Amino acid sequence: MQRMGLGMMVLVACMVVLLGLAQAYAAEPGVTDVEVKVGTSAGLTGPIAVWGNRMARLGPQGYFKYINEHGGVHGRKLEQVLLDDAYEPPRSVANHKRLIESEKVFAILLSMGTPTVSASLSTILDAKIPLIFPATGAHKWGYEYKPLVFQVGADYWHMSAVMVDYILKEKGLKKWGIFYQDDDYGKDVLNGTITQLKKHGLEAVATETYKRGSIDVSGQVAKLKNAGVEVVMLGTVYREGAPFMREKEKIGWDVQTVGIAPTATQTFVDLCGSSGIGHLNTFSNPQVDDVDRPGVVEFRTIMQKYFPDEKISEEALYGYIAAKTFVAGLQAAGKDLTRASLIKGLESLQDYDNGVTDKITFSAERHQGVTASYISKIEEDTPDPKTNEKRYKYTKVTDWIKPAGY
Amino acid sequence: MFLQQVIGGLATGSIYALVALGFVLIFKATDVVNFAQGEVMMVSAFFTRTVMGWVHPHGFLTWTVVALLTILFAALFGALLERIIVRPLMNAPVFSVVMATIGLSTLLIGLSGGVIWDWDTYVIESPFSKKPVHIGGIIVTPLDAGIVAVTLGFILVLTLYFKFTKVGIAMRATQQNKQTAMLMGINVKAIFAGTWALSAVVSGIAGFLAAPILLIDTNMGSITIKGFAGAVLGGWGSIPGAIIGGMSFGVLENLATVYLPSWIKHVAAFLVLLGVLMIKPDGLLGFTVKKV
Repeated sequence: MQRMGLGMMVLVACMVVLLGLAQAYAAEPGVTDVEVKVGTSAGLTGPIAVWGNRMARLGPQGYFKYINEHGGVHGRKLEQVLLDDAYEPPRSVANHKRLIESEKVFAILLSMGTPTVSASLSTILDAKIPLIFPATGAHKWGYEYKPLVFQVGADYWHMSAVMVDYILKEKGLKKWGIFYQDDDYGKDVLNGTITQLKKHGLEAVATETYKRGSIDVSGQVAKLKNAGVEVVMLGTVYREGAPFMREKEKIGWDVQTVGIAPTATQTFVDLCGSSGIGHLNTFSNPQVDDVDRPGVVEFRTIMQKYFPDEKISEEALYGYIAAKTFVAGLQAAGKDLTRASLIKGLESLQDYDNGVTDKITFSAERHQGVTASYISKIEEDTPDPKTNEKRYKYTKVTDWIKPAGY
Repeated sequence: MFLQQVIGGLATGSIYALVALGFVLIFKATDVVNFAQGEVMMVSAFFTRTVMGWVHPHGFLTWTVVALLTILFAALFGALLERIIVRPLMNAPVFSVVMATIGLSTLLIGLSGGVIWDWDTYVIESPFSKKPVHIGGIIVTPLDAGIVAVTLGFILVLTLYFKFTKVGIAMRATQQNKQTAMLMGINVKAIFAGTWALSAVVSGIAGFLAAPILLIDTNMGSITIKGFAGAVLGGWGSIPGAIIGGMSFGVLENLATVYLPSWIKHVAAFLVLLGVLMIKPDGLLGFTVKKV
């Protein structure tokens, strides 16, 4: 090798040092001294656009704006890169690849949809990027993918367990039918319900499916009725739950219907109209007018300040809860923020109170936040003062119930 | 149960039939398949809902007014679409226009959800009551009956229109050969505009009749593929075919959910379509139009 001049050696030495420094700075994607970038893929258009916009956008962005205005977390401002997947699994996978490889986000927060996030899961796990509080109630996020995946809210198994136990105890209805969406989400509800029924020595009498986007569910309703079903669990989103209710009202079938998170929305109540009366549903967050919870008050103030034209919705409240709990994890992780320190930070949260839900405790073994829910019933509300048309609403009928066996 | 499912299927089928009809109308005059058919219906339905929000109370009179306003809006909207999207492509290959309509469907969804209205789902109650009526063991609602009746009536009117009126015949002539039609003194541009307006009106009526069942939101257009399948089943290019095809499709779907196992029920209707096309490629009532 030729003798290198002194100048040359100094140059090379500088380059090595600089490269080393650059390596240190580039160590954690999505994190700089002044910013933390998270990524989200959700259905901002398409069948669950209402949830996508409220839960994955308004809720977290409102809270992030609030935190940023108060100096951020350890001096870092929070930014969300939000991509639309229209609730389509292939698009969700493509979005997550983009968030990880090209946007280089620090963590995935509130990505939405059971079929969509499930399809993206291998991409996420391969990249070893934390998946924080995905907006899906499938029964796996809080249990199966430690340490990278955390869940904050009760999932469909918790909710169906609460509902099954409640119905069996209060109403004694033993002949269960399940009407569910023909995909991962619906199957999760099916399995959660069946698992809980098994604990009581019961089986589902009949089950029927529908494809996302169906209009006519009269065949399924007729078959469930003919099977002598006394109570139907709706494993649906609001769009197909409402036609089910309307059809059962049309044929004069007075069956008890029950539902869980995706039908726990005023949109569902409005779409059902009079057919909704008597329907029971689990709720895992307080409602937005529950102003004795300080977190709800803070949420309302944030919505009114940053999104005054938007409805103050339960969906946005959930997004807020997820964002707030995430920020608590960031805070606990300390100034030296890496994905590993985020995970440790979240796992250190004990009896953390976000002011809305039950207290949350995470640990190395426990990545599931809240499990309790309460039950509400659809009843008639006061008529609309302008048009005099009938209105309906959910009214709470129980207190918080922890699911037995979880 | 069988009869009940057939009756129920006729109502859903009528909606498919109206969408199918919208396709066939545009195709008959302009050789174009308008894949934004469902979205045109969606825009009309949103318009209906907006107007309903302005007028109170919701009696029969207000409903008639809203219906007429929707029809007028739909006609103007259809003519506008033709002018902006289709007219500039009048001499392009038909396939280009079809591609443009596919783009149009996405554009309409985006504009409706993001700009003019929003992504929420809404419902409006129809003037036809939903109170069930029991006739010999079968449950029918005036809404179902109303949808079927209006659809059939409309079809009859249109079939006569295409057969016996000057404009109707002019539309058919334009489809067979644009150049010759022009030479014969037919104002082809006006025919194009008029056809799109008429097709939009059909979709508007579909949206308006079906809103209580379909629920109004930006996803309404997903019905397009079923209307299309119905039109193909019944015979592409035939108006009575569109109706029979659409209604059959609805009935087949309903029967399938009851009688077929769950792994096949959701696609059964499409499988029947495939089967029919293999035996009779023109569809049930179709005929291959000889290009002159």
